[in-house]
Amino acid sequence: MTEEARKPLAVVALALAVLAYYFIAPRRLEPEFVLKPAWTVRLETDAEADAAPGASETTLGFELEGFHGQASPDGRLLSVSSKDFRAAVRDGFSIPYASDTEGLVAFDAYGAPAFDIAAPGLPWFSSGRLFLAGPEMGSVSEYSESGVLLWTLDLPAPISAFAADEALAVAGLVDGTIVAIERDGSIALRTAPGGSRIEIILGLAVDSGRGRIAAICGIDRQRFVLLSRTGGAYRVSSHSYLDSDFRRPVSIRLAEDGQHAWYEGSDGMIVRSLDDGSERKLDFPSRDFTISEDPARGLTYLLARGEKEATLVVVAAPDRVLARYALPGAEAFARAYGDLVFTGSGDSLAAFAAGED
Amino acid sequence: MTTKRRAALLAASILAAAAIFALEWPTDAPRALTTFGTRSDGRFSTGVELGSTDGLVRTAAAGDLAFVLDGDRLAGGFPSTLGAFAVVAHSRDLTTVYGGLEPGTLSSYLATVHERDILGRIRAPSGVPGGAAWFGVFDRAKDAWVNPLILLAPEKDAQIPQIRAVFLSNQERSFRLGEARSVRQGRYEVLLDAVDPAEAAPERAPYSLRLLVDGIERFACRFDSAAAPDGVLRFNLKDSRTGPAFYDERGFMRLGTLDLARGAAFLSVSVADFAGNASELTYQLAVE
Repeated sequence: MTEEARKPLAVVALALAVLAYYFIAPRRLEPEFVLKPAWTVRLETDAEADAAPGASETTLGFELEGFHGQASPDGRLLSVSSKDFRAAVRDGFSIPYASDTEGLVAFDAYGAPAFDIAAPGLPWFSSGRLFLAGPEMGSVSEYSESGVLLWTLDLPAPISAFAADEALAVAGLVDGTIVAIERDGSIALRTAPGGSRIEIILGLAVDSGRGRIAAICGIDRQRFVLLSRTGGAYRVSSHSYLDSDFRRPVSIRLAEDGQHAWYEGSDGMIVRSLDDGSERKLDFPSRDFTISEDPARGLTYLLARGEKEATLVVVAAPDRVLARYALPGAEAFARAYGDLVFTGSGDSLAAFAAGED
Repeated sequence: MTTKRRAALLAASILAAAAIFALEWPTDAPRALTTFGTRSDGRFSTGVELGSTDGLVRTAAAGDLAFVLDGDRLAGGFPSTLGAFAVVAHSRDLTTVYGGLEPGTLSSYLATVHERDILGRIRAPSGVPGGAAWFGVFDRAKDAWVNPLILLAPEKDAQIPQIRAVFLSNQERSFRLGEARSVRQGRYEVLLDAVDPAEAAPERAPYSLRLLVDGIERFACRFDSAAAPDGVLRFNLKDSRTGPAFYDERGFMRLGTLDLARGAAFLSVSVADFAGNASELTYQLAVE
């Protein structure tokens, strides 16, 4: 067969191959993850609450750059106040404060005074518990929901990191010491992980249910350290040296699945397996981040706060990035609540439903 | 080790450290507006407040910049009662802490610092014209705060400390010594209102205090150091009176209780500042 005669056959063969590829090779495109708006509320200085005091319902506390207050899961504003400096907020309570505050007043979900605290210090809520950072970062106290002092503890050095869950509070100090505090104020642990030229605790996370405390500590070299409770005592169960050289607070969290730790890396987010110590770096901002998890859907909402905007990243367990959003304003937040993710940034609150497009 | 022995060792080691490690004043105004031990926010302070004319805070000695909080919250949101602050680790286990700084002004690029390097700008104002920085010195080896005046170059201080009042107080009433010449026999708490005033700083705590009753020492302390080995901060580990309840709600110092029996009693109170200026008052009481 001549060269000329082969040409039509080659064209036919190519066409058949393209047709075959078209019908055989294609796979169904994966649906794209989206957050569908459920409601949005714009906050204003003179905004009026939507609900009359006295109603009894679930509330979601919020703090943004110029506001703090409470909203209902269906988007009604229960209370909103402008703030001059900061507010400690949890669901049902808000405590506004300034850096030189003398005496604190806690407001309930509808903006009515609930209790006051005369002791000096600045408030912070975690896992529903109310803590007070004492003067000169040298002490910490816990108060009940009605403002009664439960315990106070003087620490040997200034606090540089602090974390708490329902059962355990953990303070990290500038001298490299970690102090774990039980609910009654007694000291459960006092240890110094060591291992670096300069000892300091830069970030802490706690999971008292699994008996774990994770820390980013030390300078030259910096370390990740995992303390685990075995036989009634906490011991270092794993550690690794990091390539970071942070000299500032570092965010770290233990995932609810008990299998991962999230922490800020030198150039991205690090997801560390607590089983085998393997690490994966995710390329998105990780400074000053919070996480909120939706175990029912296997979703983790990571929110990293920058100077002018925040980044919300939705991750499917353990580390598959589904979506990434930019939120205006530094004081943004995101938290899973039921089948919604409740967010706030700038002067707006919003709720989104996770779905597929 | 006994508590007394530990306290004695701590004091000795701090004085030894002072002899070999001197610090520069972190601001351009070498005068403490409040001293170590001054009542602040209901308890005694473990640092000093420093004024400034140029508003800058500088390192007191060379070292490693170990920690910078260039905001008002730690990771996770825990609030800082020192405001923005920096921590410098020095040789010989000393750490200096610089608080009350303006967020956004702290050095974020330094790793090692030299003496007099600028760390940040003082947050202004806080009742003091131009604001005030908070400065503390921590001994990592001893787990104790150290009075910065021990390590700083001596400040010019010719003013003598003032004993403003001494009270004997029981559950029924309070007697101001000097005005009251006689009291009934019984148990009394001794309260001291004393300060070490300096220019623009009228409420500084004295450096040392002493109470003698009939020639016997009943209370003595120096504000050299403070430690919290058991979760309670005290500036004298061997004396539980020097803990969180040392100051009462009026700011008077609690020097302990006395059981006064019938007859004459002589109470002598002396206070001194760090420069060595001292004052002493003696009271004679008729106990009925």
